[in-house]
Amino acid sequence: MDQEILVEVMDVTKSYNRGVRALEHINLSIARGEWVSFMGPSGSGKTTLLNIIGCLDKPTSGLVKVDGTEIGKLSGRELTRFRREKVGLIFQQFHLVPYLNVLENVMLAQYFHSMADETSAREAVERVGMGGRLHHLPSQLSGGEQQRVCIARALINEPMIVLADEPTGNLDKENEDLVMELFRSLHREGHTLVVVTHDDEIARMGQRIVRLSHGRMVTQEDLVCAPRS
Amino acid sequence: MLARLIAKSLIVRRRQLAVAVMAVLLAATLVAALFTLSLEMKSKAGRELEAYGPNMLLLPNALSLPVGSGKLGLGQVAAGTRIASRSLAFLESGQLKGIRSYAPYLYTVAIWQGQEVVVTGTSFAGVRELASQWKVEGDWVRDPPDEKSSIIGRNVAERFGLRPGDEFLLKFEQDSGTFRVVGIVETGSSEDNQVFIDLGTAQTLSGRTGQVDMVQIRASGEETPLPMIAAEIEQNIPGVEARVIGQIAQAEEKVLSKVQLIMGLLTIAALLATGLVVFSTMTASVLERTKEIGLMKALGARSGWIMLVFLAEAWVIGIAGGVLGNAIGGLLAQIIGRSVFNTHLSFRGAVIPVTFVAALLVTTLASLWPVRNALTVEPIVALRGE
Repeated sequence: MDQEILVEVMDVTKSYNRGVRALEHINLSIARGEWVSFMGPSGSGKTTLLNIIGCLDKPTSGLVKVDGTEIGKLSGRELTRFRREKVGLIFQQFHLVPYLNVLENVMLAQYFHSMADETSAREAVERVGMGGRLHHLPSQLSGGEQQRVCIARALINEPMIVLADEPTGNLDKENEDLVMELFRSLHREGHTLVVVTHDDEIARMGQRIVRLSHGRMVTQEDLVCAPRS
Repeated sequence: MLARLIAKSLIVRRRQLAVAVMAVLLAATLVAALFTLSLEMKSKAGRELEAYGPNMLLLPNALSLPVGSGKLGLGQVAAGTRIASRSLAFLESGQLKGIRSYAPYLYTVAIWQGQEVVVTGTSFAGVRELASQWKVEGDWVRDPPDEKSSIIGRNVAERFGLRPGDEFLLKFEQDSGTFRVVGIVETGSSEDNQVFIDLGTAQTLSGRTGQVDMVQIRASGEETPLPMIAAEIEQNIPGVEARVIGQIAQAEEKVLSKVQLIMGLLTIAALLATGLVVFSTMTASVLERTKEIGLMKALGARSGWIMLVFLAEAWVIGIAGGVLGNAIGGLLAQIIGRSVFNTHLSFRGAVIPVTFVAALLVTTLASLWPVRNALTVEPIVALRGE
């Protein structure tokens, strides 16, 4: 069964000022509802590719389409708007606002998107199992708990695609399992997931592994019969 | 939500903000105190300088005869050209603000005991207000004056051996009259050689009904500058030249403008120093919160929201400093007022908004560059921690 293509990466190259090429001639497509894992050693370009798909960065050359929009043609303001409306970001370092409590951190993303709504923010926090810590500050939470808040924040605006950069990189095994169970649940609900990871076990939870090395795509490995173009 | 974010970030950064608030408070205190003093000084100094006599002369257009008041030369008057005394009604009409008091003068010569004496017809009430430095032995002529009352100069009294209560006969060109000495004036100047009588009597006896030679005016330049008052008088009283007397008016203006200049420079220096403190506080705030800015941008925050977060911080600094500075500045002005003017300063409503605007303006301007830097933060760079 053919599935709709959500992300198209065509011959994308990303160079930095000193001539360093972070990505070279990357071609990739991601279907709506697919779970793709990016793997590779440090400096392989996997985070750069994730940032480009997440509209946090622009390619030096090539074409990237997300949900039919060519993001290279968007202005800074349009990119911000696109990110706000279509992308959910999960970071390895969590990046929660330190002086806002759990509920407020989630409501902040809601506010930037449209309008803060405490009830739905509360539901999102409860969904990641943090209902008992609504009014805790990030400093009062464990790494796993912070990551779950980060996931709740990424999901609160019902993004079209969820991008996670090393989501379990700072977590112990127990919290890693909790977070990955959330990812599985999101995937079952039909979310499109792109996860950058070093961990082969986590990568294999997805439907496809894209391996990068020195900015080039080395292999693509289908783990299940995932629909692809 | 943005309000909550701003409020919580302010609480977290309260110590850094307290330093900036203190700086704004000091500047606002200076602005409030110096502005209050400046306003008060202008009116107080104006009132104190009034003791030195008139600061404006009304003369007929052609002039030649030198006249004066105290040690001041007040210009010249010309024979043959006069000011119609009815035209002076304009000075009392209330149309012209700033006129404190005035006195018309009609100069003539009379004979007593075969000797010539200068007789000056005037309004005693006006002279009394204008010439507060006159030393009068005996009494001032009561208002309304009777036609026999006179004040004579010290030299005239000594020349003719007159004392308060004595009567004397003056012969004018066309008529004569008997006068009673009410008081003897001593100024150390030309007044000591004159006999002062009621203006109406002088006009009748000298045959110059409805005329005056000169009018001395004390005007306040507090609201309208003296040259503008003079110009308005000339427009409304035809054939008259209104001359601002240089010595007093200029000295008054010079002293006031110099003191105000010093106060202004002090205020500007304080505001600049405050601006630097706010600038460094806001720059530090942007640097400390680079990751937070990057995160907000990654989550899709508009530039306007990020700008608002930092400007709100600056405005809180400005408002807090402005409120406290207004209160403390008011107190400081009172303390200085008591020690310098030995009086309680009146409340000046204009000081509060001026101090507020100054505090808000300096904090906003000092924050523009740091806020601009906040807007240029790249989310991926900030989140990488570079």
